[in-house]
Amino acid sequence: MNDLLQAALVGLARRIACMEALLGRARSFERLRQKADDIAAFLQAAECRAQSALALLPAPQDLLDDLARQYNGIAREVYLVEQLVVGPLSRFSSEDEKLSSLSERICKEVGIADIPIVLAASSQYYSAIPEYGLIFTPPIDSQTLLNLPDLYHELAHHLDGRGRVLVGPRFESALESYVDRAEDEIARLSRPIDLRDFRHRIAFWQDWRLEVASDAFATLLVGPAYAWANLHLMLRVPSIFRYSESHPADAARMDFILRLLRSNTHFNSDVESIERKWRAYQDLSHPAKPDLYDLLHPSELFTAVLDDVRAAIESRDLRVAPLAPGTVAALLNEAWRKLLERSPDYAAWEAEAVASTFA
Amino acid sequence: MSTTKTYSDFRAITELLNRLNAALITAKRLALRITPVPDAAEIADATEVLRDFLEQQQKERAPQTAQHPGTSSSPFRVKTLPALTLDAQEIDRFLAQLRKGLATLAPQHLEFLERVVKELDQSSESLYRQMARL
Repeated sequence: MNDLLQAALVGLARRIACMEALLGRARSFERLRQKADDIAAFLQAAECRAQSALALLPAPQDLLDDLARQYNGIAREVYLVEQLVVGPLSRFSSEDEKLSSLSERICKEVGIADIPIVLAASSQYYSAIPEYGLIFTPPIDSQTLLNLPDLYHELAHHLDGRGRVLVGPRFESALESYVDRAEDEIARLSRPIDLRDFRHRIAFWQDWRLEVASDAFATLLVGPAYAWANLHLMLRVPSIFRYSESHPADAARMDFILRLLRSNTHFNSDVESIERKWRAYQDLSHPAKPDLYDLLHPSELFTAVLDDVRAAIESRDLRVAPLAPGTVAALLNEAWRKLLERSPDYAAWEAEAVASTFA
Repeated sequence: MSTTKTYSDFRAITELLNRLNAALITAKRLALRITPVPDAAEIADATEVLRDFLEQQQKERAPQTAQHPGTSSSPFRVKTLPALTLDAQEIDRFLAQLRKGLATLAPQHLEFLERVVKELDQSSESLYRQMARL
């Protein structure tokens, strides 16, 4: 076992050296230079830990389990960084440059100093890795405008994950009151609900709150285009009432986004139009609401998150002006309006808009 | 679970795992007189890692009134770390012993520590499998 561990640790150190060489490619892009240095520092720390373990070999039987565990922990971190970060950064393309430049423009418009790099390398949908200041989009999103409102949602994850916390005391206090009240009601009315199950599931809000905060952030900053993009996304996932540990139900999120838009009279005509289509879509057949749906999606928790997000935006002096002419948000709203009003002409209009936006 | 959350949890848990496991190795080398004997810097580092971790665990298990307002009846615990199966008395006993010096830890303390790192290891592996799609 000593030999095997020794070989594995030497192999890991060699892998780290190869990754550092790959990062050299990323350094040729000005905007990636600092990021490449940060990742190299992380890899060097991993290598130090690997060398410390290697220095203890050959080791007596009593330490072998622990040294194997040490190798496992370091290797997992290194391999994931290779897969998620070093790989995409070392293949940084013109599409990534376009999206990263758009991200920079959005951040400047909004007043965000910590600008994420955007990589058109997602194998899923949009996602963010705030630890490395990265946002991932599907590969073609530098060629189309319709999904880009989701960039603002990921921007919220980016900010929150890097210490600019979006959800705080208002939500925590609202949750506490809500749980007390709901449990009291369940007991008082002898509702056939397992309290333990309720407590287990209401704790999903630990993760839900940031998803809802990111929806609020994006809706405030982009306006109706975010609601359109969300409705569009829902067409691909018809279980609109399904919720998971990580995300509240799409239907509840859509209702929240619309409630938020309704509070701004500038959006009246858009909101009317989105609501009409949202109702029509709800009228189609959908899988039924799962257990505890209504109890887990009370509007007061969504509202409390929104209050926290508004306070965070205000305290950071971020600019909320989704319809300001010439902004990315205004362009995304125009894109959705054009698509819905003149679908046949949309492709040509979008091609031109993309060419000038990403020029 | 979203990629963002999964990676964030993975990173936090795995970094803690690596630090605690390295401290466990140092403590074992001392307790079992394994050569090379850890130097003063390694001992100080391991002691600090263990003390910080256990004091944090102690705080989390403190009576609710001592915590932040607004969390008293919340179903949330401090997130990211898995719910470790440690009881407050075990933590207190370990910390009391640790204050006497890392070299004074006995086999039962090492077993306690080993159980913690094994739990973290399982969480780290499970999140790794999700992220790496293994």
